[in-house]
Amino acid sequence: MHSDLIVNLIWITPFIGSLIAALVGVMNKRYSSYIGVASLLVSAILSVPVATSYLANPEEPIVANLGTWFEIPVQDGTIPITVSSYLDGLSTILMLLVIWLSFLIGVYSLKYMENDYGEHRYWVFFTFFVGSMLLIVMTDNLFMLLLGWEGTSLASYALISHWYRDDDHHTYVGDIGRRSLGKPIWFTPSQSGVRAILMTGVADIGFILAVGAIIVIGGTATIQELDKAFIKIFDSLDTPVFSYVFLLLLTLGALAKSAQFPLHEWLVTAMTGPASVSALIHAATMVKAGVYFVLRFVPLIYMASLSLPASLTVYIDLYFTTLMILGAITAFMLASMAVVARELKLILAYSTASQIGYMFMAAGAIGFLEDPALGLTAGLSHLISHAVFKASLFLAAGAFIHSIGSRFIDEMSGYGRYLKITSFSFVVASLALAAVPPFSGFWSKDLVLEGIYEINRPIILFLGLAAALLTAFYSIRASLYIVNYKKPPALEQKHVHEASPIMYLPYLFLAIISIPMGVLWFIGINDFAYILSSSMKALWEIPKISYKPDLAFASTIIAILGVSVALIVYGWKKIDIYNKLSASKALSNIHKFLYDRWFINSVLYYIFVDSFSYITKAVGRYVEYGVVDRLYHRVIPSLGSILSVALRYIQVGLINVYLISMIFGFMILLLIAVWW
Amino acid sequence: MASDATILFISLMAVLALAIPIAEILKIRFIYIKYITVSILVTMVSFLVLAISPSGYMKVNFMLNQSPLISVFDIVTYVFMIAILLGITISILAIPDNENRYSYLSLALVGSIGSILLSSSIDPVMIIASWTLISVASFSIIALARDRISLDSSLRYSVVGSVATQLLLIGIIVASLTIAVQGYSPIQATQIVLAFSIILALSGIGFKLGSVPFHMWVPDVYGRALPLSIGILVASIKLGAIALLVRLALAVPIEQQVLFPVAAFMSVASMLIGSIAPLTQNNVQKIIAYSSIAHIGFILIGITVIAIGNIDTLTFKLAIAGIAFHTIAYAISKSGLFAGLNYIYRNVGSLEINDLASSTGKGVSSSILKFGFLIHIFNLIGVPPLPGFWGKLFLFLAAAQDIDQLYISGVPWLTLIGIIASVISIYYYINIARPILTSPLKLQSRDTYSGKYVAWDLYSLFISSIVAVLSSLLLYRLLFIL
Repeated sequence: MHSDLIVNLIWITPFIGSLIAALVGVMNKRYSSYIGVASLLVSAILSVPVATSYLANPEEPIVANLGTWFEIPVQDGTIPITVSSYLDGLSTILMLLVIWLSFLIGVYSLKYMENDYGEHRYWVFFTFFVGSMLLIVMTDNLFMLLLGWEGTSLASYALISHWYRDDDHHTYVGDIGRRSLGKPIWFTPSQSGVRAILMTGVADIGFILAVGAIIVIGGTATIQELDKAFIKIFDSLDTPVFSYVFLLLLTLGALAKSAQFPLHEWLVTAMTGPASVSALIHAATMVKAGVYFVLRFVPLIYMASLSLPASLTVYIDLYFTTLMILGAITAFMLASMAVVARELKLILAYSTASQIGYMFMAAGAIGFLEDPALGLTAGLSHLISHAVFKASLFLAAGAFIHSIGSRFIDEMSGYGRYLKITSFSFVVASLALAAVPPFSGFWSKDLVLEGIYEINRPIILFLGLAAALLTAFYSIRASLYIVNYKKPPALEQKHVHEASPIMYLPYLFLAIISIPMGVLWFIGINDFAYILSSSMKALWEIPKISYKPDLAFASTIIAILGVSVALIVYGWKKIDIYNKLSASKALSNIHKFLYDRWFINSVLYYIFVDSFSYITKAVGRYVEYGVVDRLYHRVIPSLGSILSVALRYIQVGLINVYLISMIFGFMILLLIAVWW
Repeated sequence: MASDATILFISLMAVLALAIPIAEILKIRFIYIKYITVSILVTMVSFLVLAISPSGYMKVNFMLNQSPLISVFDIVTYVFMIAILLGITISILAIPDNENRYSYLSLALVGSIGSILLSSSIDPVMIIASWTLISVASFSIIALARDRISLDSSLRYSVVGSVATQLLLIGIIVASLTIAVQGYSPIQATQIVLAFSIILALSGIGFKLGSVPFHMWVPDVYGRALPLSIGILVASIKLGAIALLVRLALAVPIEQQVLFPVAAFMSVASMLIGSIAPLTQNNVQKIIAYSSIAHIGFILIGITVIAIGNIDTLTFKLAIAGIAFHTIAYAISKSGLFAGLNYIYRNVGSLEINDLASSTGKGVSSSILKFGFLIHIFNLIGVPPLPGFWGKLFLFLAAAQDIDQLYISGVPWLTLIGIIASVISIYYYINIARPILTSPLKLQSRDTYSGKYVAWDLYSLFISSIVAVLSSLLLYRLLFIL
């Protein structure tokens, strides 16, 4: 039931939708939204038969080739860049996830973005965003991957700074006017967009360099053949340590895109876009691209490392360890920030980066596991469960903020009782985020931790468990703030109303399915692992995954502990946290440290922004103004004026002078002729 | 066929030139005569442009000792005829209804006939005859305005011109005699005498053209006399002298190594002095006079390349094409600019940049004036797609080619200096454009002489700017040179 064109149409359709939306939106903004959702729906429907036909026979990946676009000349022959799709277990599952989630978010946005001043622009970039992400997931060569990669960067920039007029403080992120270490720590939509494209774009330089190296040295651009390319590159290196540098460069783009420490800052300020954009970035498209990247490439690197000498494998193991450590640090650090955050969407943003830290831990574990497919399965499982509940959380948060009119949870405390369906969805999804047992979040997170437990990395495991505790606490904290913490003043109640069904159906659906998903996970994890690994049979045996009772018990205890602390503090006792904080100097300092994101933002500004602006100023003053400007505005004009005055000095306007000069001129000509 | 028709047209022009004084006596209205003249000239230009065929040209007659009064109608003649006719039409169109209008028209026709004949003549008698014709016409045209400055300029010009004529005459006579006595032979003494005669002739032409080191009179004559007269002068007389220079360069065999260094020196010096000297000049007309020196320098690049290039090589053809386009651009834009300057001068009474910038005047602010000035200045700078750009491009390309001669392998440095000079010259061109474009200059559209008719010089400026734009289409007609 699939032809090459239909398979490729899955990612081409959103691009076509984007183009048509751009053209149609000129006439009527509303049409562009219908076109956008329709294109997503077409793409989503197309994806179903394709996925079914793959799942019927998961051991044979679908390769759908539309032809060669152009050829890159290398030293031995040329490398064709094809417009084609490659669907194996990983990409099929992610394709389904991305397109269906994006469609649901699109349905939500139909209502959410209605009558917005940038509705037209929103839909153009929304569909473009989805198309780029599908291209990343589905393409079979690095060049097209790079195109989609930069496409998501561009679209995220446009969507994060969607409300570019900066005229509504509800769209800002951070406490307005707050500074940490002398640097502002609040951002407007236009600033956030620039931050996002700068942080991801600068890191992409490393990615582009590495892709260039793969194409030139490795001699291939096709993803299926990359393990051979890796071996070629590792063989060509004189110094083994460069293999580590190369792998880091290759992953730099993914680290930035997935907002891993220390490149996480762009994600936490990306809250300035519409809530649906946040849902898209956090659940379906942007940050998951980085996870897909490591889940796709780390097994290939692992495969390549099997045939390498020990001197090289040390550095490749170091690379895997680096991934795990970065993931663990991010998971813990961002979770600790979320504990004190006041903004609803900011809490969710912290939690995204934190949860993606788990996925990176799983990806890094692939290199050490006895059964490497466990790492892949764990990473993808957590990606899926996280995508579903995080989309629900963000969409619900959008409804809260829109309805209550504040982005701070302490200002919306108790209003949840007027938005019953939204509150219900939010609480359910929060429980999934908190990894309470029957929900999907528990099973996938436990799988990640199990992988870490198996390879015996106690510090990383400890960080992961600590982050899990904090996650359970802050997710319930946010829910309780909204639902229960304080009663709102009666006067403002009438403004607060439940969202329309078009809005709440998507997030209600996403929240509810986290329960059956959790059950299914427990039952069907081995089938899932089979689908995922069957296309990589050459690499490993299909794992037999079974949850280890001791670790599962520990994480259950941790989740329940975190939830109960939150329940006690915010649900039962209703402690006034801010009074307690201001009473103790040590506590308020810790609070400040966490609230200002461990001062990382300010440190990054001091290191990168200030140093470059200093260099720019110095170049401006000493080179531009001192040399170039002086040359053009002082030296050359004065030279010209001196020469000109000198040449005109002999123009006295006498006929005698004409004749004398004629005689001299004639003699000069004669002399030239003679000397020549 | 084509040359027959051309001769017919030239005869018609001559008849007109002689008939106009009679028409003045008969008190025929000037406007009719002007229309007739302009329509004949326009017909002639159109005929020339459309009738040029790619076949049969580039056959250059090297023989200097044929029977006298030979005119050849080859590609050089045709290109220069187009340039001269375009220029003189624009200048004639600009003649306002002043008291000397009949004389201006008549003398302009005489001068352009002389110029056309000069560009087509390859034997000494014909050269001397037509040279004398344009000299007499040009001296009188400058003097026609009768004010002190114009008479002074006319005197200066005639002194310089007679010296130039003497030099040219001596050069031609020496060369003719040498060849008549000995034939063209490689004997050493003959070579030296011929070289001497070439330098003499080159000096004479250089005087007329105002190239360095014979440029001293240019700012005083071109820069001070009535712009109307100078427009006619530039469009007719000067182009004939350029044509003579091309003929000289074509006629001198490559073995005669004297032309190259002298022409190269004149070219470099003209470009640099013509570009640098006006940087601090404050008079628009004088700036344009200096720019004439620079433009002769650019044309001398082509002459230099012709002097060392083998016929039928790309270099040689590029040089010819470059000279052709540069001359056409020069004729159109200089005559148009001088028409515009005449208009401003009549209204403001001064051509100082400061006066222009501060003058408010009465009447209307003319966008036609601004447009015309801008197009002409762009043309002179060489902004694509105007013909000035193609001229400079072909000249620079020609000089940048490798030349396979025993004593020289190429003149790429000439291209370099040319480019530097053009860049410097942009400054003073913009310096002209700025007061005209930005000042609240309001000028009367009426003629100050009669108070009755439209300002012909303003319209001439405008029409010439359109012609400048359109003449880049000549590229398609003239590319067969290459």
